[in-house]
This record gives sequence, C-alpha cells and structure tokens, in this order.
Amino acid sequence: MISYAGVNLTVPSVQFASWIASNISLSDLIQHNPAPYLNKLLTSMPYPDQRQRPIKVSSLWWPQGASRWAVGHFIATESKLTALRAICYPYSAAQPLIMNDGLNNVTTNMWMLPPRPLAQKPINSTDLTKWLIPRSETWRADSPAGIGEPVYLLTLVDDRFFWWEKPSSVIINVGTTTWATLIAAIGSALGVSITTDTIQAAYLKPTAALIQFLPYLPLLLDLAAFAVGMHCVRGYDGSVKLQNATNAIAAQANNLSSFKVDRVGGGLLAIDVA
Amino acid sequence: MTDLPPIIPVSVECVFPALYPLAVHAPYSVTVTLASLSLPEFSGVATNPNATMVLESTQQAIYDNTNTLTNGAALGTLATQMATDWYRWQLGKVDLVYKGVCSWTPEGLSDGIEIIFAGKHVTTRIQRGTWHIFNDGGQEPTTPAGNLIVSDGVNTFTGISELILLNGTLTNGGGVATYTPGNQVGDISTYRISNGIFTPLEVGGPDNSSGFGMPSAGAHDQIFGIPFALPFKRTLAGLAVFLRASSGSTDTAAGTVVQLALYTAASASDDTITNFVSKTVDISVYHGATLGWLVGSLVGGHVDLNAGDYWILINAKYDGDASVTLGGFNANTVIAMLKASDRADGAGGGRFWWRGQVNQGDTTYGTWPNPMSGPAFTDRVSAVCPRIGFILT
Repeated sequence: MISYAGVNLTVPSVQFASWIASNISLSDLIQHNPAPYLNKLLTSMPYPDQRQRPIKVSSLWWPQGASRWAVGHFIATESKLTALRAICYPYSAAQPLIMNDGLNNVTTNMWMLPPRPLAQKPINSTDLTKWLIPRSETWRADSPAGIGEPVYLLTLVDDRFFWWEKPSSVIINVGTTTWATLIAAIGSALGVSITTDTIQAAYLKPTAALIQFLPYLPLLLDLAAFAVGMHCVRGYDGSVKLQNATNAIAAQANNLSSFKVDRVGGGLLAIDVA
Repeated sequence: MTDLPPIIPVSVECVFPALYPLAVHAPYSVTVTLASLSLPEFSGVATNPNATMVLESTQQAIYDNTNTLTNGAALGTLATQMATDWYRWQLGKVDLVYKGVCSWTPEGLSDGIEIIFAGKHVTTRIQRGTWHIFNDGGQEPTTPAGNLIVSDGVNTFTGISELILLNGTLTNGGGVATYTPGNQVGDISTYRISNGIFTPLEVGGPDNSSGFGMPSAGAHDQIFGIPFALPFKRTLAGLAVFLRASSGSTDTAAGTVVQLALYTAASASDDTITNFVSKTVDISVYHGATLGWLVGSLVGGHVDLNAGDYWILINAKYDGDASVTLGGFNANTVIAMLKASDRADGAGGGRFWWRGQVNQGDTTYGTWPNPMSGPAFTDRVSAVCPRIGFILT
C-alpha cells in the first residue's frame, strides 16, 4: 500500500505500466532542471547527473548528498488527485508518503509537484470496452456508475529539491571562517540543523575557491562535506548530517545486520578484507 | 581474495596550488601510499601498482619571499587525512535488492536507496556509488587538458582548459552625477574586494574602490553585479568581459571575445536604463604589460603593487575604433582595469579591482594617469547583463 497525504495511491499493474510505455512514454521526460544546476555547475557536481535517471512509476529514490533530492513517482486517479490538492494546497507543508508492504514501511515527508496527465479523457461507463487503460486501474468499485477515471503521474520530491531555491546569505571570510561555522551557516540558510561527525583539524579552513559556489547552497554543502572527508546524508525523518567514512561503514554494517529479509537480487561486492 | 585492486591505487597524490609572491611555482604535491597509512580496513590488500589517484585541494602551498614553502607540515598532515578518507570511501560494498520495503537507514557509503512497487512485487535496492568516488578535499575534479582557444582580437590564448563565465544583471539604481573637471572621478565601481570576494558597495566618491559601474557621486547610485572571486586553482591567463550579447558581439563556440556593448543615456538627466542607447566597443586584453606608469594613479590607495603582480588591462572603445591604444585614449573611451594577484602577506586569495572612467565629450583623452582633467561627463555609461569570464589554464 502506498499513501500520500493520507490518500491511498494506485499501484499500477504490469499491464498499466506497459500501457504507459506504449502511449505516453516517460523515458524522455525531464522534470527537474534548476537553472544553475544545468548552466554552469554541472562540472562541479560531485554526483552523477540526477536528470539521467529514468522515471519509474510507483517508486521512491532516496539519494545521498545535498545537491540531489529524493524523487517518487506514483499514479493517482483524478478523484484522488482532487483530494490531494485539497490537502497539499496551499503549499505550506510537506505531506507524509507511506510505502507499506504489509510488514514493513518507510515514511517520509514529500512535496507534490504538478501532476502530469497520463490519460485525461474520462469515459462513459457504458463504453468501457473502448477504454484503453486496463479497467482495473481506473474502475471505481465504489462508484455506482463504475466510471473510469483519468489518471495522472504524481511526482513527489523531498526538501532538497527546494534547497536550490533558497537564497544564500552565507559568506566566507577566508582565514577566519571555519568549516564548522560554514556548515552551520549553510544549515541556517537552508532552515535545517546539520549535524557533523568530528571535523579533523587537518582539513584547515575553507578557502576562497568555495566562494564561487556561495549562491548555490546544496552544492556548497556537498563541496564543504567532501572538503572535510564527509558525505551529506538526509534521513527519512528530515535530519541532515555530514558523515565520515568510518561512521558510514559502521552504519552500513549495522543496516546489513538489521535486515534479515529475503534478498531477491544483487549482493555484496568482494571488497571486504575479512 | 578481494576485488579491491582495480579501484585501489597504490598511492594518492594530493595537489596544492601555489601561493607565491615572487615567482610562479608549480603546484605543490604530496604523495601518500596506502601502505604508509596502515589502515586496518586494507590490511593485506593488494593495490593497483600502476595507478595513483590525484586529489586536488584548494588549500594553498604558501611560499615566502625566498621561495621557501612555509606550510609544508600542515599540507603533509592534510594530505594524509585526505588520503585516509578517500581510501575508506571506496569501501561501499552493497548492491543488493531486498524483498519488500526495507527501512534501510540512509548512510554516506551507499549512493541511494530505491523502493519499487511493481504490481505486487515490492523490492528495495541499495546501491553503492561510482568506482571513483569524488572526494578530494577540494572543490573541482581534475582539470581536463585544455583545447579551448580564446581571443580578444589582440591576444590569443591557446590551450585554455576552462573559460568560467559568471552571469549577472546590472541595475541602474539611480541618477548619475556628472564628472567635475579637475577632480578625479570616483571609481566606476559597485564592488569592494574583501578576502577574495566582491561585496556590494555604493558608488560615490573616490574612496569607493573596485567593481564595475559608472562614475557617480550620488549616495545611492549603484550598479549591481554578482559577487564573485576567482578560484585560485588555475593559472589566470586572461580575462573576457561580455557586457551584453548584442548585435555585433560575438561569443562563438571557440570562445572568441572581441566586443563589448555599452549603453549610454540620451541625455545627462536620463537615468532610465531602457532609454540607454547601445554602443558597441572593442576590447583589448593586455596581459603581463608593464604598467608601472599606472602605479600611484589609482584612487583610494588600494593598490599595493608587488613584484609578480598580474595585471590585465582592458580598454574599450566605442564604435569599434581600432585606434585605441594604451596611453592614448580617444574620446568615448571606457577603461577598466583588473588586477589579479595573490596577497603578499599570504592572507587569503587574490584581490581584484575594477576601475575605469568614461569620457563622452573630449577628442583626446590624454595619457593615463591624468585623464581626469577632461570635460564633464555628459552621458552615462552602464552595463547590462554582464558576463565576466576568467580564462584559466
């Protein structure tokens, strides 16, 4: 079960996924493109280009980093979209996304971007045979008329998407500003509290080279993190931390020992000394 | 047996750009071998003996007046820390798919987590990042080999690896005072340099230094650009200024920069930016010129010319008049000057000054540094949508 803002979302069937691919392919859809991201900062991005990721319906992708953001793509029928609009607008707060398989769940707050119509033309219940979308996707059993509904692609993003639109008041006074004060200032500008693992004194202080990135807070945070040997991690609960490699290795080991559920693919690379 | 050798080089080389007062130094580098770090995570691990990972740092190697490195110990400690962290970040080992929803706690070793509902088939994938994880204690990846050609019509710079363009918008914030004959005009500036960054500054009197704008005595006459500073990881080879991409201006794929476009107002009382008339000017970039005759002429006392200073002079002439030469500026000449040098005291990065003046009514501008005795300015000059490019190698 997937719900957003308390509204259960449609989990499409394999047939519907095939219908989307055939009728309104999402493979060439580019939805996210902050201007500075594209225009002049791409060569400084510490991560692969997020825009290259394909759209996968009914999925949530949660990347590490400050310059990338979480993205979820889901299906919503028109009646559910109407309900979502009533809840999500005005756009004052992120709403909870719950992905629950019946045993475990992940819950996190996300923002709804403008939904895209996948099939907007409604049909008459007497003419369902002409409805191209598999009936199971839009058939409303609770509707007396059993009316098939238009369906939409729902795109959800986490706070990091809007970090690109936060004005920056961060300054670097070279020789005086420390990494800790710089990171705290970035957090203040973003409106989040950033925790950091211990910053090694060996990393000295920020240099003038970072100044060119001051207006772009997400990138600045990633670069500051890398500059002190850390990576930025945003948790499902909205917490933001800069994590060093040692603690990341420990956290990954803890994850591996915590989850004993079935593995259905992949595994562990052979890079353990042990 | 591990599969680490392909991604674990025998050593890491940390490169630090040089800060020098007297001469050009190659970047200072420190090589750290994995063996020297004695990291337990890599005990007994074979490495790629033919590979060295180069990490660029933005921390500078500082030399004194005798060309002796002064911060070698700190850079050595930094190199060890950078190498240690870099090696450890290579240990992401997870690329697996769990059945169902797995509430894997996000951590910095895995690139991302993806939960997918494919019909009734629900999975969670956790995936490590790329092999060469970018984590260099610096800000940019290694500079690629340069093949860009940048020309201003006078000088041609070849083998340029990077042309950084900074975009911004200038706004005329108010009226422009006329220049009083016999007095030095205030710097045509709106930005003041402080530790490598320009900050907005009201244009007014001669004490206001730096930036780019127009002569003005008004308390609120401002032209805003964008704060910027040069990254000192590269060698500054030239400067390109695009004040506006107008007709006649060229900004080709090869990076040719030959013209500027300036605007002048229709009358002295007109300060409405939309009423300004476009002018096209040529620029010349003077790289490494002997400009000692300029010393002492600058307003505000901000110039501290040091041996090894790097000067770039840009002069711009309206209407494409090719007769503009150093020391013999003609009418309607706009002069801007940029100084790019590292601070001799080693405190912070380089400093830059923009400076210039406008003369609209004289036929002979005279020889700098005494061009200020001309007639009053009757027109005003502004810049719209400037793009400033730093040509780096």
